[in-house]
Amino acid sequence: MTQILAGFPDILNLLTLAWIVAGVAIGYLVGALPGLGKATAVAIAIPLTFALPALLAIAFLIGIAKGSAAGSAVSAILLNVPGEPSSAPTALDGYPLARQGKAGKALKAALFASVLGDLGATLALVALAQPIASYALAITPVEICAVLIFSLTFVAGLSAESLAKGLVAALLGLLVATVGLEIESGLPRLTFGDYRLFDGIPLIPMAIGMLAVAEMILQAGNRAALDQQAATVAKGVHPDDSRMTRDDWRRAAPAIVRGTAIGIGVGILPGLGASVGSFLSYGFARSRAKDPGRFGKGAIEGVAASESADNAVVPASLIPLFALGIPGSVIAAILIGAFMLHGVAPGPLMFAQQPRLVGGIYAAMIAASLALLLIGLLFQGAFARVVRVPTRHVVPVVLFLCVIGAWIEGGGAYGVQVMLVFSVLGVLFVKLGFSVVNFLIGFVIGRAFELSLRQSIQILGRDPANLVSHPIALIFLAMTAIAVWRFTRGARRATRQPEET
Amino acid sequence: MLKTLKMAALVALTAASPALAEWPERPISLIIGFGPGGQSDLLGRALASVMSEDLGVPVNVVNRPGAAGGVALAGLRAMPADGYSIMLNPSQTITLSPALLAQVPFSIDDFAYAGMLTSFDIALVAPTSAPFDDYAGMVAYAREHPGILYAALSATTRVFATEIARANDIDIEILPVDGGPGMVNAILGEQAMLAYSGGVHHRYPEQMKVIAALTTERNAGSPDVPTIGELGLSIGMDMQTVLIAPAGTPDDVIARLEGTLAAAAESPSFREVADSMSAVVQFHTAAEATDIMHAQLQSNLAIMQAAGVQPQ
Repeated sequence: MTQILAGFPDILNLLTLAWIVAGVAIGYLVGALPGLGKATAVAIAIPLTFALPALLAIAFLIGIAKGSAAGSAVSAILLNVPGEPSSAPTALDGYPLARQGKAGKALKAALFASVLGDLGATLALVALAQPIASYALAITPVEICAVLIFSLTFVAGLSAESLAKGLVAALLGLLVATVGLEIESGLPRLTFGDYRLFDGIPLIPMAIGMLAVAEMILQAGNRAALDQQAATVAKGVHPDDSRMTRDDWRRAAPAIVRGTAIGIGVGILPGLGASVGSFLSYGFARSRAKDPGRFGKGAIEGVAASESADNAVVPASLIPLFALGIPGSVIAAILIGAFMLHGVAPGPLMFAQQPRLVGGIYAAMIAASLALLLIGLLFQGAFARVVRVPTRHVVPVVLFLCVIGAWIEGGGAYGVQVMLVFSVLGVLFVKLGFSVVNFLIGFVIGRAFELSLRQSIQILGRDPANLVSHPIALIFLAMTAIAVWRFTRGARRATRQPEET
Repeated sequence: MLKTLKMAALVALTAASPALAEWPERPISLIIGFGPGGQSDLLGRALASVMSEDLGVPVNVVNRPGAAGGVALAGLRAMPADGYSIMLNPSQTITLSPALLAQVPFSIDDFAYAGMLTSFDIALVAPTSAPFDDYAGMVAYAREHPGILYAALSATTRVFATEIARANDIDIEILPVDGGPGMVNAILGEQAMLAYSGGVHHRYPEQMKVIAALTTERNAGSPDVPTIGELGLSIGMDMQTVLIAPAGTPDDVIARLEGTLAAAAESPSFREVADSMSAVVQFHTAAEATDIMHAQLQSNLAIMQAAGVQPQ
């Protein structure tokens, strides 16, 4: 705590605050545009900071990361087009809310959840970076693998309509994740001799295609109905529909607390990333709900769960970076480059050698959380009007942004091709009742799961009995078994009362 | 022959750029075969700013990630040889890929090499806590503890462990990791006892120690540690960042590019960026670079063949 107090004088000047606010604002806008993600936003901004002093540069970059993590909820809610994959669960309930005329409420819920998740994880970073760090090293691929197996059980929870279809979607995601050079021996798999597939299918262009382009195709086909709905909605907006009521807070608060905790946990573990955090948090909120039927139809706690975890991952992934020099996420890995450029080696020595800088960074991160709240409230009013724009204007603009995003993230025309192929798949998925989110969970977890499984086999010396020395992994495996048992029981009950499903 | 090529290039480009002789007269694209934010990207961006100052035209960095630069190289090969599309990439994408992959959509002769800028301190590293300090100690330890784990980033990096194990008749198991950050995790978390490092270990002087240099010359960052060749195993493989243009790029353009590389190697702002990433600035002329590339390819092919690695 003394570190932060020492850091505040360093950032409480107009120039530093201006860079922090600028970073958050740029991040929020980039995040709100469909197709561009936070990692790209930060990476592209690094050269802008070449000439800046270290504290300004790092505060600016972290501001961008925080801003874009929160901004990606905007297009998820208003257009059903997540700014990046980690906001896909936000769209599941945020978009239905917007179509019910409650866009303002959903945007505020997402923003408050983002800010609280972000602030909570930042405080965790400040308080816990050093003490937690030693535990982070005790987390080996064996524990990661167990956590990933556990996360896969939430696929079942998200398959509300049909368990079979939910599993098929997730397994297809796993299958697509195997495309590319095999991790251990370098053998090409399912590449059909195409060199561009060696690194696997790029996640962002694929997600843009399946989530955004597919959605635009569907909306274009349903134009008349959507426009009529928008017109009715515009007429009768109740004031309560654009703010968080006491009742909304009652539902959202536990989801935010749990989401923040999940986000912190996922951020600390290396190699999981924000998508796993938000998927897990959403799945958990749904499985804990008294009436899970509300989810997918506009449950405010779904939005809160997803966004709080999404944002909490960003500062939490800096915990292993600051404490040990280990990057916990793509953002953290990119930030290492920025830190080194400015003569700072992230790691335990940073606290001893540059305590003042660390204090300044902490203070800047807290200031960025507050800036996020202001920027979000400022921009939301303008963004919320998008709901009233006729579909025939929305679709071409979003498609244009999608192509740009796929181009940048997928390395040129190849990214656009990937996007188009998966947009067709996305339309088929929606029309046939398969869950796109399940597919993405399978894909995102698939790669990390394969790697950590193969690492675990080596670390355990190919002997499952050695699991005994990994109690955390055992706990997660036990939780997986319980979740599967509970779910199959629930599914059996559901088949007995089909009218309720 | 060169004249014909030049003529062909001229004819092909008349529409786009009528005055080839006055290169450069429009912005240059510097292609980076990796995503933004990594070492290759940051080095490339630092080079681009020196180049644009030196040449008086904007130099735009274009990221085309995939297959360690292979996707971008396959694209560069088909671009006009007019000096407006160039690429900075680690040399091994060209000099090692043919030993590993049956289908490589480019070859060493598809490109002209304008010079080399930095070299990588590739090394066999261990966590500081490891109960050995040198190669002999490592071999003795591995003999007593069969199955020690070596963190490998790819099929190539795996070869070092299998060859060291075979030569000394010891058992080293492979722990696959995901890139440099994955390797850092495995060593700092002491999950692996050994690892391949492309130079990232310089950032962790307190947590990692160098057991052997895996290059043909000693590492610039650890001159006291012998190379794997000095230790009796000729499997050292070098890697430099090399400036690449499509084959047939006019000689005067290559000469100008070589000049800007030399300028970058001397530039304090470039050195600052390179130092921050522990990249060793080591300039080679276009002629030297071309020789090094060919020698490196032959040497790598021989090492991989001796190791029994079949292209897949």
